[in-house]
Amino acid sequence: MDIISALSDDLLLRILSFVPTKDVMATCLLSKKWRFLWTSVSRLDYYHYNDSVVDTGDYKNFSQFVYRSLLSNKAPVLDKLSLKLCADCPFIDVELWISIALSHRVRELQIDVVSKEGYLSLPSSLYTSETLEILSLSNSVVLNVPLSVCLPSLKALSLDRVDYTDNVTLPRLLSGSPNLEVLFMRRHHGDATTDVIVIAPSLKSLTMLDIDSEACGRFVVDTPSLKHLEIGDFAVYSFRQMENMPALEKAGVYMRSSVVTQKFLKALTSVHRLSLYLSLSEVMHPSGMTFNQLVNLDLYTFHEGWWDLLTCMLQDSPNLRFLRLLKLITDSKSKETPVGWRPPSSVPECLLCSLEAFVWNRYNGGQGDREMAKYLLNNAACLKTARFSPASTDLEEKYQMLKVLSSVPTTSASCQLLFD
Amino acid sequence: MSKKMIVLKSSEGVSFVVEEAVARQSKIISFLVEEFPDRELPLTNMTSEILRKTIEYCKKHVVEDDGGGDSSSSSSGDLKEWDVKFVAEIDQPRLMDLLMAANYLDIPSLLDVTCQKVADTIAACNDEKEIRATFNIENDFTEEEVEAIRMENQYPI
Repeated sequence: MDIISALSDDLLLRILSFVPTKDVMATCLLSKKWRFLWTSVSRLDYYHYNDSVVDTGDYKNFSQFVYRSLLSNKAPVLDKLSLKLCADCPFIDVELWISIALSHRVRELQIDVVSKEGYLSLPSSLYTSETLEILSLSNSVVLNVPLSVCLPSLKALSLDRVDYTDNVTLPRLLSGSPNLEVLFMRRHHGDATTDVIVIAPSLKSLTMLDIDSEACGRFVVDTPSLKHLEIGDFAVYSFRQMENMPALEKAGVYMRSSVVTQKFLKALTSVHRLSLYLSLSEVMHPSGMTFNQLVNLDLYTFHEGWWDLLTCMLQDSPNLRFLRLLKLITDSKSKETPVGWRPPSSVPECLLCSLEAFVWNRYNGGQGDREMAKYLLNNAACLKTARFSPASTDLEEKYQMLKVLSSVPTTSASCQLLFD
Repeated sequence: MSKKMIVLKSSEGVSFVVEEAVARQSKIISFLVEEFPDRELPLTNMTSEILRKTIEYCKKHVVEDDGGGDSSSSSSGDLKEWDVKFVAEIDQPRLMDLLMAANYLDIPSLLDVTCQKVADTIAACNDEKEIRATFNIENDFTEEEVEAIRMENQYPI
């Protein structure tokens, strides 16, 4: 026998689970050994697009193929069903396919429907699946979560530009998923709900993106076990609240339009790596928060007042080792530190004891920025490298910046000044 | 602290000295090391060539556990790229041997990488004839049988 056919059925099924489902069926014609193998493959994916680039034939053929292959499937447990469908798929078929997978005790469901006609409602049996571990929904799907929702195995949930029937839909889904660890959410422009309320005691990783929607209601995050947090939004909420996250390791908060309070930031004080792109409503000192474990801080220079946020973070992060001032490529200009920027009243502990490396990307070199750079170089006692990447490409201008920076006396004996 | 080494012996009797952490990615070796510490482990169904390849993979994928948070050797993206190159350079018979070695030694990530490569080869074929030719699979169906199956399983092209 040839080498591949000599493999055990288990291994052949493992191989076939990596083959796109439309190509798997062809293997039934290879030889008698392969005749029924395809019916036991536990990962199924069906893609139907009606554009000319990815032509998978007409819908009738496609749906016959899906029904035939789903109904023939004899895998004891269906590991994954993935459906990526375009506009002309009748929802009734899609709902049936999902129901068939659920009756096969499916562990992972990935559903991406793009339709101009309406929204796919998921079969209610989905919300009470005992086996579902990963659920990923995209685009024209509406969540209509029943009161009886109970997803004890659900570990990862991705809601990408989907719709919700109302403001209680999301909290209800989360409260019915007691073991959820990973949540990804991206809201979209047509989303009719106003609130985002994430209360999930078991959650370890949370990503919330929203660059489309505008006026919003309440934003509440209560996730005491969280380790990774990523928030990126352009939305303005009337109310934002985050509860303390004592296990937090890494966080990135990018808010273009909202202004937050120090109380909001306080939820993040356990973090080790932090990236901030936001504006504080008011900088109070003492702030009442200490980032004891913060080692890496990235701070974006987009918002008015970022310099005050920096002052506040330096004062409140006694063990900071790496600091970067950054600018997003999409932001036209970073805000320059105003002349008369007031340094902290006393030198922050991290400058005296821990800060090793400092990077300033898109350094403008104006008087205010110069004052701040001088302050940092002057006071950071254990600084090993300070790197400046100026915004300007003008050689003369860059030379002048370098001249100014290199003349600044540094407290740290071994500080290396790098200039790009 | 010096790293603990173990000795693996191929079917030709060639000995390979490997760091224990590297070899322990194999669940079988991990078990054997605990049961029979300080002994050479004979892998009688693996040639030196395949064993060398397997060790090369395990060396790349070993997670340095030295407590340093930021000192991870390679990012997951780099590793994926490396994996793709690793299997791309192997011809088909050796790939099958490596797949079987990964299965025998119970190294799930290497098994996935090799299965993926075989799957890609199958998916790249236009029809069953091309798959048969690629893997030297003998067709033991009669023409009538093929036609019957074809009628039964019409699938979209």
